[in-house]
Amino acid sequence: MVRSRKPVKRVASAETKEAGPEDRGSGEVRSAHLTTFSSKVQITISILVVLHFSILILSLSANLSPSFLQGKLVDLLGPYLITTGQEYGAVPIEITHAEPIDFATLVQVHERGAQPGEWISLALPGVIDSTARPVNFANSRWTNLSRLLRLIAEEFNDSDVLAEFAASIANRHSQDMDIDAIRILAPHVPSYDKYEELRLAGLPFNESTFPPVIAYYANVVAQGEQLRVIPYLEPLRTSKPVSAEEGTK
Amino acid sequence: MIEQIIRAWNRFWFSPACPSQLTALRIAVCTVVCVWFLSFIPHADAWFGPLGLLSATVGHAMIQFEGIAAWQMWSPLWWTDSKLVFQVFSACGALLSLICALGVGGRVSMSLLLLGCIALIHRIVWLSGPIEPAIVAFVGFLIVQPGASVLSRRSSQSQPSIPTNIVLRLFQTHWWILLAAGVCSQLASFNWWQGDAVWWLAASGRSNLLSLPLLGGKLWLINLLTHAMVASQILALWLISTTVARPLGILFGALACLGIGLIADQLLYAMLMGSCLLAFQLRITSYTDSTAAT
Repeated sequence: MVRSRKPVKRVASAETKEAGPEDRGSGEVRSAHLTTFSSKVQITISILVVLHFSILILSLSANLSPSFLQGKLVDLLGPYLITTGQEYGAVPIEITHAEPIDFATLVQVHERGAQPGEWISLALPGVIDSTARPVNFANSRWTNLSRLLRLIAEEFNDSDVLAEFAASIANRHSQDMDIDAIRILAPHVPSYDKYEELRLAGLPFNESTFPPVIAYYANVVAQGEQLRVIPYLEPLRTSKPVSAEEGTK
Repeated sequence: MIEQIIRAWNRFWFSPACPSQLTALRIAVCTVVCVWFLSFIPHADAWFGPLGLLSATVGHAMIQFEGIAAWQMWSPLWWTDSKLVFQVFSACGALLSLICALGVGGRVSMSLLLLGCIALIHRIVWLSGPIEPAIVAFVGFLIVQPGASVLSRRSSQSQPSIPTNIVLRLFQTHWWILLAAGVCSQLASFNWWQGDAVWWLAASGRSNLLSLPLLGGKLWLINLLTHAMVASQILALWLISTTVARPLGILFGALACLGIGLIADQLLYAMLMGSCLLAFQLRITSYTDSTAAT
């Protein structure tokens, strides 16, 4: 980008030395008040700047749902992006798209011997409960984690990550309670119209009017001193072809 | 035309700028980094303890799931699940941030701070939000030229220099790209056009400022806040790029940061982005000073 043969900036100072052609390629030209860069240094810096910002734009544009090409390029540049923490992955730069993954989940456990519907919501770090809102999180960290857990739960319900996560929660609370099941719950988030409908009718907004969705469910079993979880998977649903002709398609 | 572009490029990146601009920016950014480190201390055990939600075992499972090589996510914090170690690490990071804010140690301190930030970011894995990549980039820029020490009165540190300008320009460009990417991503969703995005933030409990009872029956307020958030970001991006209207651009940038912090519950990110506005504001001072000097 840089073609200028002369140093770009001249400062109004008697002590400032202007870099001439003889200084080109020698790195920095020092004066009492100002350091100017030779053309070679300027070109090198320009290339680095363009490279850095191109990679940043690639990483940001590949956020959440990259194209095939973006995905390949991000993989290729992974060592740079990941080691410098510049991979945006599923970071919510859009603030919200009002999609289910944008709404933070709850973690609930069930105690052995308790009624089937008696679930206990666990306190999550940094999350403050409030009666004014369905969920009220003091900061966005749990939301960031919840977003990814929900994404995985939707795609790979039997993933080891979810099992490890659920097991760590079960083990954390095993001294206080005898847990036999754990679930990740997605509370219903009402639209403005739905909320107004209820408000004007004087009806409460709670789980009975809008039941939450179970994003992940696992049974908890003891294995030695540790607890481990067995994810509950929906039975495989298959349908028989209605005719022999359709079956061969 | 190409010559003109090259001249403009050189003027943009390779003009000298006053270090006092950079010093104020460094103090602001390092203060936010300090708060960021401190924010991990209260819940260190619940997140990263032996039975924490993100214990080393869970963290490793997450890295494996993503298919990332372990060396890329290096961090000394993987070696232990001790709550105390994590808290001491965060406290040291906060202290180092303050040292860097004062300008003590120059590039060495800034490099150590960068390593500390990356180590923590790699350990927190999926807790990362928009602030973490921004912190790494901004601290990294400050290694190039940390600016003048607050404690030193050496006159050589107060002279205009090109590296100072390069760092200020890096901040400006990075800030602009981050905000532009955010707006583009927002406008990919119908909610920001329709004007109800703020409702969904409040309804899902992701707003520090707003709640459902507060917004109930006030559709006009929901629409106003949503449109204002988008408009302030677009105006900031546009006006801050022009020399004449830059003060207005800074004002809209500050409003955009307020929205991100208070309405969208990204307080630390908003503080960091707000700090970076100093890189734009102080350019004006520099221009005035150099004009007066000439």
